[in-house]
Amino acid sequence: MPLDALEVIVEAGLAMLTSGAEVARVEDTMARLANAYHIAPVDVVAMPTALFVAGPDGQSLVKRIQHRSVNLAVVAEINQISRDVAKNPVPLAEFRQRLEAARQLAVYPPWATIVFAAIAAGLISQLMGGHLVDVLPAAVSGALTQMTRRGISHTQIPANLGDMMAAVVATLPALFLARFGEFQPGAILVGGIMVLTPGLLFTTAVRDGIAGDLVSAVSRLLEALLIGGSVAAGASLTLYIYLNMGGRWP
Amino acid sequence: MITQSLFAGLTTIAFGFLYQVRASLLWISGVIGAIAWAASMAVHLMPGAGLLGDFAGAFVVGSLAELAALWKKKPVTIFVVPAIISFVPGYLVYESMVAFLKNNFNAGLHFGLTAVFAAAALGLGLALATALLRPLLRPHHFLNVR
Repeated sequence: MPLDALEVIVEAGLAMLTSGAEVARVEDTMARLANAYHIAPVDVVAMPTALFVAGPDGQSLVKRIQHRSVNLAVVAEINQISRDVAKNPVPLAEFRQRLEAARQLAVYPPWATIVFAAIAAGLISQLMGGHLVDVLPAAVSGALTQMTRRGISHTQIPANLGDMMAAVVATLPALFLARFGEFQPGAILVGGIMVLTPGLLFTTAVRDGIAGDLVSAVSRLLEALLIGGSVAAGASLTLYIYLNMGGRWP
Repeated sequence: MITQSLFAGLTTIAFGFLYQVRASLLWISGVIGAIAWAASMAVHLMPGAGLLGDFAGAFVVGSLAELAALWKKKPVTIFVVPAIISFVPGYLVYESMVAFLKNNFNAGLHFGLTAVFAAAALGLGLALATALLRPLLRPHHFLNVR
């Protein structure tokens, strides 16, 4: 029985970690859950790429994390479940059920995220020196970027290459409109690309750093830099070809 | 300035939707984003403020997010991540990229390094806000341990 409970707790921690929660929060949540199910002593080591749990009687579980994404809904939901369970320990089966539901949780459907990406890109182009005419092209760019990223995330293509391809797509509306004087192609391009910014990774890296989880802080900073690098590479690739073909760019 | 803050707040909300934050919590992030943008712009009015504006903005985001997290009993990240996006120096990175592509290495380095320092200012603002406010808001976590 204890191994059973331990496994469910590890599942909860794993789901939080793959959705982008801070290491301290993952360890905290798992300790809280272990406490609720009277598993003691439990020691948890969480990293962005691996999760180690040492339970009682020398039982231990090691999980490798291959896929990471951004889903704050999952983090918030499992955090809530762990608080509920700590107050009122429900049977393990029921907890497993709630966990399964939380792991699949997506508050908004896929088509809606494309609309949100479009709105976000259109709005942020206004903060990046764009004028009102740039809202629509930037929105198109954001929508295309999100569509590309979603499409690629279901394939076997490595995540960094996918970000690069999404950045290539993001530049297209700006490149088509650069020849007309009334648009600010820079604002359009940045609007589309901002959809890809690793904001969560950066924030989590900072918070991990303060909490003293140095391995996690460094690896998340590296991941954010790699994503930023691939996005910049993708965007400069198309821009380079365009400029060398004699295209106009303000 | 008010329009810009409004845009920052709306941007925050749009990015919050993109990161799957629930609408019932998202208006708080929006308000945080708008206030932080206004604070950052107010600091920018000072002559020679430089990157202090980014630092102030991130500090406001971090502090208000800590308060909101305590109030709503939710992870701080939910409020921080959408609100910090408007401050990401995307335009500087873009300008650096274009300068490099046009063989303008001095300008490219200038914009690129400014972007790196802006990101560092954001990180410092967030870090200081958390480091200062957490012990004040949640003293039970920091006393009585061991």
